[in-house]
Amino acid sequence: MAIPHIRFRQRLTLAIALPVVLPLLLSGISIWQITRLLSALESVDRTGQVIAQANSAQKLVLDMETGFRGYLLTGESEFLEPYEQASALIEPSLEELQNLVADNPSQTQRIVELTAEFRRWEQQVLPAIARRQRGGLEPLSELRSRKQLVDQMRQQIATFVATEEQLRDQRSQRAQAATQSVIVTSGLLAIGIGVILAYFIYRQILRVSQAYEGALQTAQARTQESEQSAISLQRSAQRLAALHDVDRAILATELDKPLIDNALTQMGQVVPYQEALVAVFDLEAETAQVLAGIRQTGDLTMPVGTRLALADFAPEQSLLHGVRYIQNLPTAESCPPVLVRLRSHGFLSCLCVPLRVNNTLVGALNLSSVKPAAFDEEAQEIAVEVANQLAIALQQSRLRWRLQATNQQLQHELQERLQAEMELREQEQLFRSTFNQAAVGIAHVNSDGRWLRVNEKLCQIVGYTRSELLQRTFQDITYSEDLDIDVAYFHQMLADEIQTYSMEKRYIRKDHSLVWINLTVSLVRKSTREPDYFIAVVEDISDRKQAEDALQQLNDTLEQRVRERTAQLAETNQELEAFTYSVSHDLRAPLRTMQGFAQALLEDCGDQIENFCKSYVDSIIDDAVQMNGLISDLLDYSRLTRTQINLQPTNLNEVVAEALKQSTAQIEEKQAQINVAAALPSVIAHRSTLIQAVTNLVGNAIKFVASTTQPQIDIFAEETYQDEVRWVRLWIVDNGIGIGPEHQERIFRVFERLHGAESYPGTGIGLAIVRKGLERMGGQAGVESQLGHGSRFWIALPGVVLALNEETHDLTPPHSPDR
Amino acid sequence: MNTEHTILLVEDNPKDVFLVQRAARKAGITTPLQVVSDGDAAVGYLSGDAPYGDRAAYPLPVLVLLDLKLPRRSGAEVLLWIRQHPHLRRLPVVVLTSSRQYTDINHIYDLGANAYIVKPPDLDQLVDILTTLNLHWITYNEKPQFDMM
Repeated sequence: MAIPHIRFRQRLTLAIALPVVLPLLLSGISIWQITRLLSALESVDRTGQVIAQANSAQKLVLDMETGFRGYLLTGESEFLEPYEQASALIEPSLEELQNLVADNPSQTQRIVELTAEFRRWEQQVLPAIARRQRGGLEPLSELRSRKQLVDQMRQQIATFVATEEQLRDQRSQRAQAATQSVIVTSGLLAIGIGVILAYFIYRQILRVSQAYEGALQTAQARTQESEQSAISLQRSAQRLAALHDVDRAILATELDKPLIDNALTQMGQVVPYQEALVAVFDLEAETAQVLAGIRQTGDLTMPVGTRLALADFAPEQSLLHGVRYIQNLPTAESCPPVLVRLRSHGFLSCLCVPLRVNNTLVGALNLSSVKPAAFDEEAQEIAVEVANQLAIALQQSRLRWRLQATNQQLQHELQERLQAEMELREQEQLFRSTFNQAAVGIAHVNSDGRWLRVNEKLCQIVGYTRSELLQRTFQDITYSEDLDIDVAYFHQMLADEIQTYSMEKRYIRKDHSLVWINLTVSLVRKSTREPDYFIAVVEDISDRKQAEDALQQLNDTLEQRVRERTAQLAETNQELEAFTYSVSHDLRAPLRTMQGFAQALLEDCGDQIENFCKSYVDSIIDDAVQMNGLISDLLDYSRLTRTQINLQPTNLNEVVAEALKQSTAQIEEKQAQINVAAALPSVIAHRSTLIQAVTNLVGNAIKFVASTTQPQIDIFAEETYQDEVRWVRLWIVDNGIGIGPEHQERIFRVFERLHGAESYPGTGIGLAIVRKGLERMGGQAGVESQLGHGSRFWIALPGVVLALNEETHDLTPPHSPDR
Repeated sequence: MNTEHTILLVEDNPKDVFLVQRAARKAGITTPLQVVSDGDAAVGYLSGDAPYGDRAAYPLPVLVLLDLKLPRRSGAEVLLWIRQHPHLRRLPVVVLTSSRQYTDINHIYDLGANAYIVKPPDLDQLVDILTTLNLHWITYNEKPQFDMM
């Protein structure tokens, strides 16, 4: 306020100076006018004086003249006395009169003329007196002249006086005018100045008064401001108190519920909420958790620890956009579930402040009130401040946890390292002793092949001392024939083409003998992948080599023998093939035509042949059929030995059914009764070979029965375990003639027959095929029998491993074989 | 019966030829049956070489009955020759032989035989077989187109 202050002083100065200056001016003007008036009055006075002086001078002249005339008349001197007295006075009187009118030339001129006339009169008087004294008479001329002079003088004075009186009148009038003008101007001036002063003072006072009022208002405003700032200071103090707890939490870098509660309580003194909740967000999991809360009355709408979806708490978008203030909850649109809950608890307004750190949303502060629009701007500001502090505190707290976790991890790692170091030391000790005391030679070799470190065993193997060995390279002591391969490997390894190699080679011992060793080499590389050194493990294999050599020789011999035998076998096999081929074609062809022509003979010429002759032809046909069967069986048998057999799970039910089907003619012919167990298991077999075997066994069972007996055959299976392998044994039990124990092995051989063709015709190959077939399938075949008591033939094959859901088979023989 | 068609029987055994011809007769087959007795003759007949140059006398068969065990050129070789022949490769060939050896059967099918039948010792069966073959290949079967030689 410097400028108003200066203006104020200027105005004050003006207000004081003007009333002083203006009366001074008025006084000056009055003095000047009064001076003029005085001067006018003075000149009137002087004119009066002049007139008086002129009258006085006239009187003196008259006195002189009177005295003189008396004297002349009387001659007495006493009449002369007035003359004499006046004569002494008249000169100064005239001089004075001249002085008085010195400013008026015409008057002065008159005085000068008067003075001159007087002197001329006097000059005439004096001789007249003198003549009178002598008694003489006065001439009349002189009298006349003197009288003329006196008249002139009188006239002169009278003019003078008249002039002066005129002057005096003029001056009196002028003084009077001056007096009037003084009075008028003084009055006008006094009025003018008074008006000016009054106006000026009014103005000044008005201004000062305005300035004062302005100042007063400012002062009042200031006062109000300071009052308000006092109030806000108090609020700030409360805010500070509220924030102080949060600060403490930040300083302590921990945030527990009581601290937050305290902060919220503090805030409650300045922010009119009924419930305050602090929730932290996990943005990755999209959940929010209530961390702390305060409700003035009653329980929290959401207890501490409540976890809910972030979307339930508030749409993230809205929180990112800043404070959300819902003035009237019941009318608010699209409330998230949390707000709905608040509403249901009777809250009418709500302030949701995001807790953000560096633009990262970490949580929210939710203030609710039972009054609508409860949070004014200041409350919001405070809430935001508290929220900011809380956010920082939360973040700090999180950082601290992270720091602690990192610390723990570091400590853990440190311990692990220490542990590892100890283990490393132990291992190093272990390795050192392993290296030195190993039962194999171990060495480190540099990339030139020079031995860097060698153990005792290696020295023993090559017969050099350690120091001798360290002066050599591996090339020096490698047998020349083995060197190229080793060096080639060595370079491959340096080139990173192979990681490791093993080879058997020979070293030249110090005593020049050779020693076979098995060498295994690996390469240790530096962290830059440059080769550092090789690790060579050297095992003395002289003994093994000797044994191997011997074995090799033996093997060679054996292989030679096997080759020879194989060649022989191949030759035999080839011969057999040719034989089989020949049999199947050439041997059969004549048989077939023989049978064909015999049939043709019967058909074409049957009526020309005697009956007994027809029986001859029948015999030829029978034999041909017999021979054809034999050849077929032989070929079957032969094929069994040669063809490839693929084993696979085979259902015995199907196999038995197929075999019975193939034997239908035989069964019907003999009216055989056949009982097959309900469910037979599966086996690992070659299906067609197995069918052939079963067919042969069934055929035998039907065939070798006394002619008076009806064949009865039971077919069933049983399971046995042998060497933990599940075996299935299929039994074909007949009521036939039986087989004596001495023949029970023979019957499985080719062409072995126990009976003549007339009683039981056959080729003698059937059982051989059974046994051979079973052998090819990895199974077995056999018989239990007693002469006259039937036979119990069996075949055994590996069973199929039962699946869990497979039904249990009835493996027991039927109760009544007669059924 | 279509008498325009011809069956070529490749069989070296005259007795078998006789029995086949007899069975054909018994089966009532009127289709002419040309017979050659070895593999080379079969190839010569099919090629139209002398002495089989006259196609009127020796017409191209619609079916070949081929024995496997033949002099000079085996049945398998004849079959291979037919299947590799640019014009005759679609000719139906039924192998009629004594052998039942599995290696033979598989090999012959691999070469492209249309059927493999083992000669039966029984004459009635032979008649059955010929009846069936006639019905199948001559009567009902649609003949393939042969590219002109």
